[in-house]
Amino acid sequence: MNRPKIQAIKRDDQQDRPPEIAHENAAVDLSPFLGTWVNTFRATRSITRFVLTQASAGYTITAYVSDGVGGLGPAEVVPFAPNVDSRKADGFTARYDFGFLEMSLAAYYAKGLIVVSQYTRFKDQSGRPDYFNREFFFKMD
Amino acid sequence: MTHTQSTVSLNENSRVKPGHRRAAQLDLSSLIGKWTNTYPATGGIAEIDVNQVNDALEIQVFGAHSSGLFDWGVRPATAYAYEVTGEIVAGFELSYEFEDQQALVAAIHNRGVLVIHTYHKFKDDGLRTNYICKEFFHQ
Repeated sequence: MNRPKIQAIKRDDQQDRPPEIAHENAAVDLSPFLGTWVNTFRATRSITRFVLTQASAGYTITAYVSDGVGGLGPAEVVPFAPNVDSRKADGFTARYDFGFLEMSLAAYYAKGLIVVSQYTRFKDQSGRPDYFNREFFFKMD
Repeated sequence: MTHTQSTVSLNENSRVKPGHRRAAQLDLSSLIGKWTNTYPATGGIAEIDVNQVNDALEIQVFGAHSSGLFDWGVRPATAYAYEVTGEIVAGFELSYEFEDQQALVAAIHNRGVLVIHTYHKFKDDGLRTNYICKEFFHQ
């Protein structure tokens, strides 16, 4: 069977395993991370905890914040593996869009912690600068 | 040549700025309590107890062991601030002396995470390489 030529922009994009072992279109497995993750910094002014759940197709995150609206509702999660030969998630991205504000999350796993980088963009005319912060979450038993 | 000065600044960060002075007392409160490894399957340190005795820190480390927790014992630790005139504790270090090895435990606190580097130095058993273990802890 002729496989289509796989395009790559860097060496990491190329698969090292033989094509017959690689499963085309196989999803990245986020299941070890499903559950509730709690911010290590109790006085946070941002996300206090989040819940990762399996959805009918893929995964969702529901984030809870320290003030204001509380739960942000579910958002789609895109899981990422550490390399193109793996199907085991090592991180994920997600995005909340509230119209006036957009918050992108980029997260990775390290020794029991999920490190979440938050990129907040203001789309209103408030003059607030877009900002970045990073916080640490541990899994609740 | 040995320099003997009353005040030596190894770098700019070690210099006390004019008008500033050392804090009367370091606030240790943010570190006090039990810290649990974020990685339950760790083979390093499972948990650590941080206590304040008078104005100093006392640390009790529990290693992860196949038979359960291994108590390393209670030891005094040296506390450190974030800066030379700082009032808030940033971390601590202490060392354990065992029959076969020395373990230097160095910890720094960042937004609710205690990051601990443990430097294991073996006493000439010819089998093991000295190694560093980096782990994360939460309260």
